[in-house]
Amino acid sequence: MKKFDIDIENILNSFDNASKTEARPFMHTRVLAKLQDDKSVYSFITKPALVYIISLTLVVLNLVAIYYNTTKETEDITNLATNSSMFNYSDGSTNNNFFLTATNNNY
Amino acid sequence: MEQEQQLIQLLKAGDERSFKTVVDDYQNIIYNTCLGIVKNENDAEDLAQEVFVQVYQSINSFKGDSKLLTWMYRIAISKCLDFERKKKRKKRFGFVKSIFGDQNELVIDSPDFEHPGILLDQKENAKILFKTLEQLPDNQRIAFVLNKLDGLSYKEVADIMETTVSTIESLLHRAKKNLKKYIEIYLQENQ
Repeated sequence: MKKFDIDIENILNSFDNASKTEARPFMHTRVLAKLQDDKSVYSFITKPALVYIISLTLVVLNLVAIYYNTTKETEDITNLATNSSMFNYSDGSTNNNFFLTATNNNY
Repeated sequence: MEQEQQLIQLLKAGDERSFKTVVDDYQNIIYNTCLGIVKNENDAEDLAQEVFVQVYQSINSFKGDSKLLTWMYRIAISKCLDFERKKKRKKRFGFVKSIFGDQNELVIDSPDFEHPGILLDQKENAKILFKTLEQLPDNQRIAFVLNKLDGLSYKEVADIMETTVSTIESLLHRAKKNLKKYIEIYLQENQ
């Protein structure tokens, strides 16, 4: 085996017999502090009252949006129907006769 | 095993003393794993703390189909890999920002890592090994660190990585083969 290969093998095996290092003391205290921080950051989001208010607001907003869209749609349809009725007559005459009828009525 | 089941039940019930027992018993193991992956003592310390925070918060989602420690290893590994990804992204973003003249500092790679647990006569070799380990794909690197640095058996590594022993054998075989190649290149460049 060449020296170069031996070096590679030594490097590959350099983790052998490595000892465990110790974490800094009082990790439990630091973890508890972190948990407390986490709670204070998210605590206001998890309050039931706030969750209810946010949900209710979302529901109301959705209902308003649905109602607004439905009313607008009905209005559009009514407008369309009204406009088209100006040019359509039950006796089958078309919009070409509209001006004629209007003129006849005036005289 | 029964004792562990009892400990898990107590943890799920929010028993503070049981949580302290878990932290005290496993802190060094988790810290060492994090250190082997992120190669920075402060980051490893922070990540180990985050692992215990997550254990506390998600113990109710732990189904008990593996050992508690195995589950904790998984959390630690996923947190370390996330941390590394974020660090890489930050580094890339910092570089782009520096091009556009922002005052933000670049995230600079830490110098060669010296693991405090490595034997003195192996320190230089371990530095090279840590450096070349960076080039391995995540799964090969994790398998290598768990087996070689943490001293876990193939079976234990397989349980943690949720795979079979033969897959771990093959991962480690490929890891060693790749490492040999990278070390060779490193030695040639630094001779």
